[in-house]
Amino acid sequence: MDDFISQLQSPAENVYGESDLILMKKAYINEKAAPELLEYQTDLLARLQDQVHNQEDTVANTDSTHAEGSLVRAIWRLELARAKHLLRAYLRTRLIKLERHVTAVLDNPAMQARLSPLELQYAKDYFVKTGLHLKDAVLAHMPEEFNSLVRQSNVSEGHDMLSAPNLEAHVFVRVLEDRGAVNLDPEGDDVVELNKDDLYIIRYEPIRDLLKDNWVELV
Amino acid sequence: MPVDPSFSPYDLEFFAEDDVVKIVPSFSLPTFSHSSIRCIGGAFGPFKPNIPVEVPLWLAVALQKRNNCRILQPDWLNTETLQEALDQEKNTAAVFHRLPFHYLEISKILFLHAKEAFGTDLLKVKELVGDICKVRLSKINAGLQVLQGPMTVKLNNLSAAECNVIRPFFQGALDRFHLLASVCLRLLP
Amino acid sequence: MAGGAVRGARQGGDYYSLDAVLAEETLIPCMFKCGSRGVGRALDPSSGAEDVKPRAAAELPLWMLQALTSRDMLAVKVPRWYGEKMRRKIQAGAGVENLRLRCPYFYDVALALHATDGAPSVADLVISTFRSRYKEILTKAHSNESPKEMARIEALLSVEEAALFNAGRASLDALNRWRFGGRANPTRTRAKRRLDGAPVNGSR
Repeated sequence: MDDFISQLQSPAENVYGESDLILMKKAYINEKAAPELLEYQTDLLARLQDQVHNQEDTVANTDSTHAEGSLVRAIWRLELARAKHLLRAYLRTRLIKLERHVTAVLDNPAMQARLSPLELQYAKDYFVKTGLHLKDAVLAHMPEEFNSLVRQSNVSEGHDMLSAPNLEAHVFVRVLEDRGAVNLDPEGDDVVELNKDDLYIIRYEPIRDLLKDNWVELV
Repeated sequence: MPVDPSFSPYDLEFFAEDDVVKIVPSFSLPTFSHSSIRCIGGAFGPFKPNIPVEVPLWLAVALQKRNNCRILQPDWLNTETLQEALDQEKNTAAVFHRLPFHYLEISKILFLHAKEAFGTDLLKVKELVGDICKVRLSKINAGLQVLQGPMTVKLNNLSAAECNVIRPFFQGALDRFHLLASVCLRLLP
Repeated sequence: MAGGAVRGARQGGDYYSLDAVLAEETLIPCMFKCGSRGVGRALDPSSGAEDVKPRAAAELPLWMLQALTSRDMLAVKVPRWYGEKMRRKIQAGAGVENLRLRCPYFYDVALALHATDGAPSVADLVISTFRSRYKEILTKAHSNESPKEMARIEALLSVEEAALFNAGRASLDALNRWRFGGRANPTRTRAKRRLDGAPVNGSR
């Protein structure tokens, strides 16, 4: 029975290999399940967007007057719809996270480097617009000592006005390659053994780098 | 508020549609190379009448809807294998039987679009999948109940839908345990 | 890192979280270590006095404590909902206690108090409270109780617990709706039970 299952378990290992669409799906799942914004998948997005454009051209240039062409065109259209759905879901998930953590992202060059140029522009615009809105709605009505967002943020304890992702949040994670013992806290009192196909619910922070280097994926 | 990391059951169904199933086509594509459809996700086929071929579930369902193929019953989704899985599931409290990661999604799609594949077994197979799901969910629940503090929990062989259904509660509870414990530790003398 | 504990109360450092703001409105019993001039009416509109005398008792909102205790102006008392009586009740089994009535933000307020210098220790109490109530919340969230019973249970939970409880219910409802084609909504518990055979937790 395990044979049948291994065929179905992971599309990556099926006869059609690991296409960019499958990679995109995994990138989307990782992005959705991770508490912080992950690195923008520049190459993958560029490749997939290219393939979508090419496929759209092919569809437009295929004769659909006979049954064969009409069937294949319908299939292509269906797959295109799936691909676009996935691209939109990925980009939209990133925008939601970006809006939620916009101040923390703009405050940190390493975080900014994870954005696409369009996302960075979006973040800046969003920050300016929400800032103006807060000013109109609240700050303009405050005494002078309290009417600056930046000043308030700087004096607030723990910088809690910069809404940062919670890296201590727990995530569901699947191990892709045998990794062996991994420390979960700096003192090394809490060690967990990560073997291929293990599924854990675990704090995000200790597996952050493993996710980046593809030792694990989120579920 | 943190960003919601949960998927809807329909998201999971979408993900499951990339898994492959075997079909028997009733058509061929003589004017296309290798009688295949060159898609973004791969060159699916070759499609030749009565020659079984593996394709992603979304494609299988689309072809079946146009009466261009017959979907075959997957080997793991028959009464014998499922009965065996159900028995194993009942006999082990802490271990989960290995099923396809998307077993619930795949079976739901096939029960809807490929009823013929199951012949007279359809009801029995449906019932077995339902029973397996029920036993597993109650095992998961029992496992979650013993949680007493912050910890890393191994969930090997849990399916996509099972992970997703416990995610909001389990993640929230572990986050809360961790937060309480870490504050307590930090402030101890 | 003091910010960490404050962040706890603020739900992942979210300044804009409504719950964090509401939690900080919780009134905490305190005693002034020194007198303060001109603030009597601001702290308590029913007070006739302009000034607050040394050793005067007052109930101050949580957000005010940090600033005052750090200047050694204030002694914070243990709110009664973290007191000895509560401790004994928790030890006897906390399942039935109405936390919503005692302190809606039972856990977040405890964490914030803990982070405030000079506040007495309440963390071990709230950890054992959560530990002893967690199982009940889980079982009930995944049970097939009537909407009325669900509402009754929810009313006993603190806001933090209720969030967990409702999240657990919502994800199970979503799964059942998907599996059984939108018919298994909470108002049709009986229909759900028939379709599913038995409650999913199998415990009753």
